Amino acid sequence: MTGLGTLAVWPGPALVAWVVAAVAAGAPVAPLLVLAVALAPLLALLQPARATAPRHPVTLALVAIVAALVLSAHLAALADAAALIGARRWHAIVLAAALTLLVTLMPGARRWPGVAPLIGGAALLGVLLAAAVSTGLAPWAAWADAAARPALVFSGQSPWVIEGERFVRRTTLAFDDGQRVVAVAPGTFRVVEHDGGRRVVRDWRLGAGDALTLRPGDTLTVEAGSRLRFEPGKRVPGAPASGPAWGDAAPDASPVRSLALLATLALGACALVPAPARRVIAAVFIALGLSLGASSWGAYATLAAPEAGLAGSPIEALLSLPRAMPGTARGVTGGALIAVVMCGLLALFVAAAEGLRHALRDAAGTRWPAVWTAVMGGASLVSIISVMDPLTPLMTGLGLAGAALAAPRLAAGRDAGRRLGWPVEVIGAVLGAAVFAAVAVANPPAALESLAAFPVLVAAPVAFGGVRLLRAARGDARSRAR
Amino acid sequence: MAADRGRRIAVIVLVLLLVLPLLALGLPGSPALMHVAGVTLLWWYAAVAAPLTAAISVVVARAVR
Repeated sequence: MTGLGTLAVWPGPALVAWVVAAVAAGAPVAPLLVLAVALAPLLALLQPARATAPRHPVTLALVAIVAALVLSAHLAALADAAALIGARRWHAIVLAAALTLLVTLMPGARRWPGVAPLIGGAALLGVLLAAAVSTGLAPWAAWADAAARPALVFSGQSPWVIEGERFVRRTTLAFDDGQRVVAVAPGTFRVVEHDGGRRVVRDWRLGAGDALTLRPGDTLTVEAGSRLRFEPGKRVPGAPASGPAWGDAAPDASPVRSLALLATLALGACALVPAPARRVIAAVFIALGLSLGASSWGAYATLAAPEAGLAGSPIEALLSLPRAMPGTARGVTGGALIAVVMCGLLALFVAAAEGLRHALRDAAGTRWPAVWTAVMGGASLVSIISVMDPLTPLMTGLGLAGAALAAPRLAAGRDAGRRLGWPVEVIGAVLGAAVFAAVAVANPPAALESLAAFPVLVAAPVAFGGVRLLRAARGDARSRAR
Repeated sequence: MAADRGRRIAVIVLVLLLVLPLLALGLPGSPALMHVAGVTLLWWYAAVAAPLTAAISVVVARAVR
């Protein structure tokens, strides 16, 4: 497998959208996220080479669950993108799943493993270049301009102001200044007012064209599918207080949460990205492109459309840039650029799925086509039935992969042998998965919330330590036998 | 042996690059939030310097065979 094909499993649509959305929103975790997303696959490339993982039904089940979770995340991101451009969610899911199955099951198509990531990368890079040409600003200049704004407000040309936009999922907006919002379509809206120290909850049933006046400090909960119009010149609800506040984003979470995020991404990458045989340079360029591209995209998006995160989906940050660009950016319309972004996301999905298929093929052996089809079908079905945030299955999938696949593998080394009739690595995988599930469903006290949010922080050390103990016990037994 | 040593050194470099911002943010005076060309040092580090250093480390580690 080439370096390009190897790393293509990493920058799927959900991950790319997450990073861009975090940068565009000025999320405190954004710098750390960009860093971790770029460095994690490089760390994975440095894993010690090993012959083959022990083929076992437990390993196969875990790889299948991880693949289904990661695929669900990417499909949810594509479905969000479809909803934001006015298409149906299930159209995008069925199209992406069918195309991917066709590409991955067709023997001829697999001869060019680097084509899909190249198309995806080139498409997104093209839109980024169009943004640079259209604004006439280099990424760092766009960053400085966005960071110099006194406040992040709705522009008069924003689609949220002109015709109103749709919310992809249930979202709660916090208003820092008074604002009058207009319902474009009928819907129910919950307003929480803070009158002195008193919290007053009001539910409003609005018809099309009805307005709602919100005061500073109010929150508005909007149901999925609702459409609202905002006032130009007013601050974007939930956005940083000012440009400098956006530009100076720095991790303010507890060190445990930051460490947990790093561990989830690093171990997840170690589980999904195998050490490549060749073309490391290409892989390195993907990682660099991810950090530079996502940061630049976020800066241009904030400059052109500070309301990029309003709809409740991280994918909006990717789509807001082509939407906000002038209609005649070198003769290319915003609609054409949105189509390019959609094609790029689809190509990244195919590339990520191809990488996951490789992992599944290693675990399933000759049965892989049936297992792969079932995994893709299951992930598609879940994505169609539930409108979920792409981040939930993505972080669960990466965390589980880290705890149950990467940690035991790193601890086992080349040959950890067998205990109780099972390969030691598989025992570690069961241990890691069990602890991961237990911590994820547990209801811990407030002080330990970070651990429940990132179960990998507990599960990975347990799996790693368990395998090391079993290895050491095997070594002692061998010494005694001599 | 040399290849394995190079790989281990590169792993240490990458892990240090990952945890460095967490340590830097705890320093008095917040040097990570100083601006260079309108962008904070933290962002230059996260988006450019650290990925570039990591990439060079990986290329060198893989080249030592």
